[in-house]
Amino acid sequence: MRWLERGPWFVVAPAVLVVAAGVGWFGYTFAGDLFVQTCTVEANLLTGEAEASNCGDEAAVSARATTTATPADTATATPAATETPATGTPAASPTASPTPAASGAGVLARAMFRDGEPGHDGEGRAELQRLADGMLNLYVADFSVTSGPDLFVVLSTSPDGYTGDGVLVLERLKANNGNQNYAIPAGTDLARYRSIVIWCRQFDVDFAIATLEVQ
Amino acid sequence: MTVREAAIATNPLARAAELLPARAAVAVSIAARVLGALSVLWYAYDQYDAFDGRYFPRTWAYAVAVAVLAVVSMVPVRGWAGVAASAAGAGLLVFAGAILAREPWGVAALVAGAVAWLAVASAAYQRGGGSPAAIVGLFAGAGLAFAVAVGVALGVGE
Repeated sequence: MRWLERGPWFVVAPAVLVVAAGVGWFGYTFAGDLFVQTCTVEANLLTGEAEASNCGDEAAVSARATTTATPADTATATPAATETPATGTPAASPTASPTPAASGAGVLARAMFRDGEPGHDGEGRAELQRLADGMLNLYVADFSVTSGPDLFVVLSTSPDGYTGDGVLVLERLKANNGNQNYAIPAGTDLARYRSIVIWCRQFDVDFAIATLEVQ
Repeated sequence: MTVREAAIATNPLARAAELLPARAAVAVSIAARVLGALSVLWYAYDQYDAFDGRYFPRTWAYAVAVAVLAVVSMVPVRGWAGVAASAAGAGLLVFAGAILAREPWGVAALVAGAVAWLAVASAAYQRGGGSPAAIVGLFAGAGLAFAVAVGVALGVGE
């Protein structure tokens, strides 16, 4: 420890400050998501109803909600999904044009979330919906998943989670609690997909899995 | 001029360390660590309260572990080890606070830990050459904060 005692204060003090700030930033960035709870409550776009959520009273929700979308907001949102083809070619955005206004609005498939890999818990229900305007939508309700970093909502061709091949990455998870909508790109062949996965991109871990049951 | 007087004349940090008497600095470091421990516990309670009584075991486990270790760091120990232990308790609060800093109570823990560490370093300096122990303790506290976080994340479900 003599170098600490002998070092000039104007070298030692800034060095300690910089290293401490760096270590603190590392903790904030990479471990901060482990102990934080977030909530987003959105209306069910199919029914237009704002359903009860698991987020607590209204004040708590408003304090923590990251977004509260109205049906109109989300229905017109541009899908953020990218698909990873099974062939291993670069990810591509689906380019099919939106389905014209359809009379077949309704729930296409349902699923219940279950725990992912050990230590990663999930619960809640999910619906794949075709909306009145023909857009495809994933609605999750009473949803809760272990908080973590870099979480994405993914449609997987496997019933048991993220496989890496042929998955459709919808978008970043909005919050780890609540009722949420995720736009599915128009023209997506939903018959290919067997499960919805909450997937951690950073560590390639399944946090929650919902195996789809076609209606 | 003594070595100590010479240091105070040329080193602004030494002058700053002398602003608070050593006994008062020790008291400040203890009070700040108590407040930091309470802030971390309140972080967990706030989450429980905000979600209408939903219990998040992972957050509680981390908060309780950090608070207990911060309190343990107040056990009086003489000499270099005592300074290092006190600084480790303060450092633990600084870095656990950084991990929890997405919510206000996490920031409060970070600030309390920083105040506690400055007070520990001040008292150590005035009592004679304990500054390296305070610096080593600070980063030992970082190691503790991350070790507990990883242990809780791997061992406690949510």
